[in-house]
Amino acid sequence: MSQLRQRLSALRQQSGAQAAAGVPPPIAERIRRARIGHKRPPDNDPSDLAATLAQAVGGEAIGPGVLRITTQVPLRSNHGDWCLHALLHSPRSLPAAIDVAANGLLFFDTETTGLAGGSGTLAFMVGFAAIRGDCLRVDQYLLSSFAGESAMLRALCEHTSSAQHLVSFNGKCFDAPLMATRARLNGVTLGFDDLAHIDLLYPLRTAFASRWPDCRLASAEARLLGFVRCDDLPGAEAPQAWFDYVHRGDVEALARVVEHNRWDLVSLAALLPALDRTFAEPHRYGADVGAVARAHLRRGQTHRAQQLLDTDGAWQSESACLALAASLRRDGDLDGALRLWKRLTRQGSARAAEYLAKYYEHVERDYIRALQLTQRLPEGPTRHARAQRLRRKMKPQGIRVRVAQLD
Amino acid sequence: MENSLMSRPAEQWADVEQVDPVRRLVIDLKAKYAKRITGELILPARAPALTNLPEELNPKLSEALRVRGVHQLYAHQRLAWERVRNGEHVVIATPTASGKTLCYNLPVLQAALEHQAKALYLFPTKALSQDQVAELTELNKAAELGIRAFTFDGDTPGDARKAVRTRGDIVVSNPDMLHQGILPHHTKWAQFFENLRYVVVDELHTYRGVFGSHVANVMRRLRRVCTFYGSDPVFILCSATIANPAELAERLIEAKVSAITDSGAPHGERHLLLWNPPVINPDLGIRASARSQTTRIARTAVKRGLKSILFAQTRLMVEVLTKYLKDVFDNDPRRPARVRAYRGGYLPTERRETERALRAGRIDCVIATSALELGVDIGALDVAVLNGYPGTIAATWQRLGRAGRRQRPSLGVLVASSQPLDQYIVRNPEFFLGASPEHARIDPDQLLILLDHVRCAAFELPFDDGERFGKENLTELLQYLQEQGVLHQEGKRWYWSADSYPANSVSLRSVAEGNFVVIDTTDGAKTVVAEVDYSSVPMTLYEGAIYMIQASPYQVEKLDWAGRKAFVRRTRADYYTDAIDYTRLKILERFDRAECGNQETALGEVHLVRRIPGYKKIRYYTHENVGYGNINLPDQEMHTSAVWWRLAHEALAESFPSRHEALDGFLGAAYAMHHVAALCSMAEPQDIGRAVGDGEGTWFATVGPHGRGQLRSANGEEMDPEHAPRFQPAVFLYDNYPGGMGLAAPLYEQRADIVRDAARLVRDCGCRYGCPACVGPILASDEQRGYSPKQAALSVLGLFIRHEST
Repeated sequence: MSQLRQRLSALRQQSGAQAAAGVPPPIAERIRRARIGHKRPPDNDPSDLAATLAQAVGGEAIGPGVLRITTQVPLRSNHGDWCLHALLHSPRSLPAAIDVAANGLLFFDTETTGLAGGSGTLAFMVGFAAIRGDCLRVDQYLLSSFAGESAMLRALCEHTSSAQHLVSFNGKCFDAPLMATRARLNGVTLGFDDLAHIDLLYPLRTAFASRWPDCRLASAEARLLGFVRCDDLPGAEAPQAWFDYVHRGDVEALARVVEHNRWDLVSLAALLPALDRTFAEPHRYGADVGAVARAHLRRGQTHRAQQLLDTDGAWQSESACLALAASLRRDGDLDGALRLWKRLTRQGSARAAEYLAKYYEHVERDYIRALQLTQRLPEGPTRHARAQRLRRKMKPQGIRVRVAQLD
Repeated sequence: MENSLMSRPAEQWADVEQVDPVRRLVIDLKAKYAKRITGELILPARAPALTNLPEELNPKLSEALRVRGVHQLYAHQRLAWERVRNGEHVVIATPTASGKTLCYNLPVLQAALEHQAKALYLFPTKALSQDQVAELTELNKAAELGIRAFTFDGDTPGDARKAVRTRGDIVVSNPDMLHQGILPHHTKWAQFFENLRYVVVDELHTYRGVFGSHVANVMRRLRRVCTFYGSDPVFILCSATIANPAELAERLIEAKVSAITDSGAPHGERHLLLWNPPVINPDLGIRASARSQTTRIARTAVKRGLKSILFAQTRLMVEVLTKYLKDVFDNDPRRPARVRAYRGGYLPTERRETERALRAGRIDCVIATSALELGVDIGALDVAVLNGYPGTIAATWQRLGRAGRRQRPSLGVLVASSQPLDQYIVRNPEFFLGASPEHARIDPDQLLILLDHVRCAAFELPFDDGERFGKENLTELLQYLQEQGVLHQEGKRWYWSADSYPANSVSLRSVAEGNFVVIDTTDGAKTVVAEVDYSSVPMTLYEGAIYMIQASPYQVEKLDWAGRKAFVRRTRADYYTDAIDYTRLKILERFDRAECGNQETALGEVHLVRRIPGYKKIRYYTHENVGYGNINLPDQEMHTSAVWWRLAHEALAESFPSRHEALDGFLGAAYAMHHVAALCSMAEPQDIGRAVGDGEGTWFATVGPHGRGQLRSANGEEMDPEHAPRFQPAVFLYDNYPGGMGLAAPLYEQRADIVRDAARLVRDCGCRYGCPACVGPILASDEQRGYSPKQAALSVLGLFIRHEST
């Protein structure tokens, strides 16, 4: 053993980054490694360790290597500025969630051994939250050993089988594929694929990407929910907490991960009605009105977009207004479209002027007006070609216009 | 596939001779340079051996072949079909352009049509993958087979990857991508692995040395993942000519492999000339440079309208030759370039452009390193000139094979340099023309490499007690990794327990890690113009170095070692630079020794420190030394295995009047032994290093700027040998990879042959005092030493022999 180790450590020194950089690893790193070597309790009975962990996190063992922590959060309680009770009303405005039934919602969040992805990354904790009676029931599953994964995954199936919608934060890109990998490795069918998946990160980005410096869940808590966590363990430290437990039997940090994950789930539950309100009244919550209106348009909710855009003179939403106008025209509401184009043109939008010019040229055949509008387009070959064509069309009608007159 | 084409009957050659420009060139060269041509070989044109298409071949597939003009198969293609269909792993080792592709495409396409079976194709480079998919697409189009073949590599866009994984029937990739992108994400490929029937490994001969040892471990991982998904694919491997294709294939995939080596494909007449540059200084045995002869032959060929390829040994020589030929053919900048360089380190886009231009016949002469040895499709060329012996017989044939068409004659010229191996080969043409190509060696259980892949494999799937992976004790490796904090043992399983993605920190191409990028800062811009691997950086990218790209010189202004960057600027220098290398060794442990009195030959582990203290500036054309520069780089250290020959203090004092003379003898002997050792062990010379020193690391010997042996202390200062504290020099031949690739043990086995053949090489050399072909270059002033360096080397070798025989 020792001979092989010596060979290895000697060889590794010559083959790369470390020798090249010429500096030994930081002391902290060396100490950490040393501690792994010394404090790791190889002789600890795994069931003792699991019991210690169960006690520290307030959970019960539901099988070898898996703990479940169940918490009931009354719906009448507040989470920041929002009452969880709002969850009982089906969303009316959030495009991805309109009319989904409250009792079919399954909120979902994982804690993993890293962000690297691949089959070596493990979800050591999976949390679900669902409405049960007048409470939000939070069920968190925590591995007390690697071997418990298969039992944990099977326990998760009970939750997915009674739900219709999975609700997550960045779950589409991260948690769901990771769980699919874990399920495939363990030969378990999770049933995630049968559920519609509402990932709240996307509507949050739609509404606030241009307003906030970032769209992390913590920002949503601070800026939209009005919720502040005390003494929270940052999510990035979760992997180390699990490794400290695995390598050394430390349970303290892992207990804080449980707390962190529970807060994530409750925030997720509060975020759904909050985002629904944001999509109904974006101005009120400081959201990007144009972006929200465009989201409604994409879902075919033209009237909602119209409500948001056709009322005030929000110049910043030029592209949204143009999208709305295009949508109105498609729906046959040409007057609605014209009203928008005219307003935008008044506000100085060259793109709207171009739409109007096309309209006057091809529909009304009012070449003078079209030529007038053409003058508002930016200098360039397009503008020149359009003006030329309009002049040509006017000739047979005996119309002569000097542009100066028009201005 | 041009199977339908037949070579012409022999009687027609008479009138071809009148017009065929290659034959004319051969005749003219022989007439004009008869003395320089030491050997000639003519391989007659060969007719194809054809068989019918297999009866069970899917009708759509036969239709596709017919549309592409293939009505019959070559014998070796049919044999491959039968063995593969029979479930055997096969390796096909037939010459370049013999239709190897069809050997694997047919069974793969058949299985895809019959059972929706999937196949994975692995090529060593991305360029080859792209060629392959283009070929498959054409076959597919020919009869609407409906087979989907996709490349999957670093260039595959993120949104296309899912389609490749789930819809691809044939996925074409490379070992690096399999290692970093596919295996660590195997669950996403579950469907693919469940139905994986065939794995195709083309260019097998490139999987040797470090790279091959890594890839063998990637194959272990691949088979482990396949087992998890319940599949057991058949491997179809293709190789250029090497001595041991079946052995290499079996080591690579660790299973029985049957070899197919007889080609049924036709080829045109081939001429091969062995060319020795003329002696220009008989006393010193100095010959004209290979470079001058290569450019001369290339000029003649290109002027006669023959498409030519030149192979050089180093990137530097590629640039020098390119410059000389561009000076002749590309002196008008308004015209498109007729001459181009092709080598590793150029950006992929530039290389692709050169390949396209070659295929389209827009380039008349390309100068390349081994980078063009591989099966990159560059169309057919007429003449191949090798500037120096490539170091192995296999590589020589492979490079010569780049010239050669199905129906027309082609010419290959091997121009010898003054290196001993080259001289040995051109002086003994019968040796080269009759020799078997080399054995390709890999050492999949090299400890560092194995450890890297145990980490990667543990990430992919937990290890179970009792599982096998490589030949070292797996449990010990797993325990070591647990101590490193990346694994955790729980019950009978070992789980990955770290927040990292181990494959990202393992490069298959080297033992060391981290490529350097070369950044051009001319005109204030910052453009990446090249990439250089870690191990060649100290010799090529030191501050002050002239680094050449397409024969344009760039000067290295700053080397950021930690950031892996070199900043260069265009320059107009009329010189190039060559680094000086000081290597000292310390013996750590003897594994074995053959001893006689105080003299020994031993095998053991050594600690090696390489310092690059400076560089020489060498002027173009005259090749005179126009200055020196200092290099300030960290020392490169490694542990490796070595063989050494050492003489006792007393034996030396008896045989040599002065220590200077003894030192020159050792340096000369080491030079000859190094080259003979490369030949004996069938390794490439750069895989083996040589050094002369005391084995304690207190001093080492080098050839100084004036051609004389010098003694230098550990910190590089010159010492007087007469005052050295303990003067007991040894010749070291070491394995040039950290940890060793298993080259030293075979050298130790052949220690007697190495010394005897080195003595013969020196004794039989025609020079008087020594020359680059035997004991290394000596200078005119050496006559004034009062002794012959050649004789000194012979004395040292004689003493070694005496001890070997007792």
